[in-house]
Amino acid sequence: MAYGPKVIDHYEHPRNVGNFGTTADVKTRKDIGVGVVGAPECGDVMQIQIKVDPASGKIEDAKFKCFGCGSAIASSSLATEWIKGMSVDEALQIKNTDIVEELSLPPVKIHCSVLAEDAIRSAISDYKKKNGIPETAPSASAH
Amino acid sequence: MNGSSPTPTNPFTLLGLPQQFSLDRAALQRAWLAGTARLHPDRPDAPPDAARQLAALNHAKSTLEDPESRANSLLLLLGGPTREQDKSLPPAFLAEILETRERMESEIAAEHDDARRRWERWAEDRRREYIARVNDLFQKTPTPETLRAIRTELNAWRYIERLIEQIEPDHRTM
Repeated sequence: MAYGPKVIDHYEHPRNVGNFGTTADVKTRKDIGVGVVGAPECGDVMQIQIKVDPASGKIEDAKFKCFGCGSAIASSSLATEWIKGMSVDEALQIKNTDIVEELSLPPVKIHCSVLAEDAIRSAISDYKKKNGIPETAPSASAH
Repeated sequence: MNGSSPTPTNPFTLLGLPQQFSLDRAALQRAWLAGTARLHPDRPDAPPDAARQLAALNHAKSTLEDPESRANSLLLLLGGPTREQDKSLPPAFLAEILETRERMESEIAAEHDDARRRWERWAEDRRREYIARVNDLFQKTPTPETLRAIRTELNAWRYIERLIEQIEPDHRTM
């Protein structure tokens, strides 16, 4: 078995599953950012929603929903754990390689970590757009 | 997967079938049987690399049998973009598929096999629609525009096939 115990733990006990409302529900909520991304090579789909405290600019809560393999579920579960308590710009510093390292993902599953990084970026980008905050990180449009 | 080998073998040529999306399954079966007989390793006149050729023949057969992989293979043979080169999807597609998957998940959790069967029928209808649309596009002159349109259809189609894979109760594979 190529999977490490951390992947299996997140897969069997995923953290922060769910959302703060359907995409339509949260569309007008300025404190919520939504990122929906897909992996074209396998057809997995993932959503991360962030809830930002407007006063501090910190991510106070995060939820995810992932229809995909165990590694994609583990990657998004871990991502939501990490970004809670971070400012949005801190969360943008998370790299997919950090997720690969933490979960000891095998090379064929690296795209799952890329998906989680993309979902974080996409959720933050949505939050910034809703609040008229300019995109700071130049790599935000890399994908 | 696709594009991993520098010169992809043409499964249509390998089986002596016309390079087109619409498939004569009986002709495919005949060509494959003839090939396996010719390449049988017990035959005294079998070529030295019979085992490798046989593996290539089997691979070509499974590529052509599955409509999604047949379409992907044909698109690349026509010079169309790979998934990596063109990740385009129809507008709002991802949000829609996410919503669909959520609905499917909660219905299966509540109704089990009844819902599973209903979603299987739903997904098979979608598959038929993709096959019909892709078939229409392959009839056209393969301009770069048409090939890009086929890529977009195939990208979206993948999400439906993934959904079908995961309807099965024992899909929980890592």
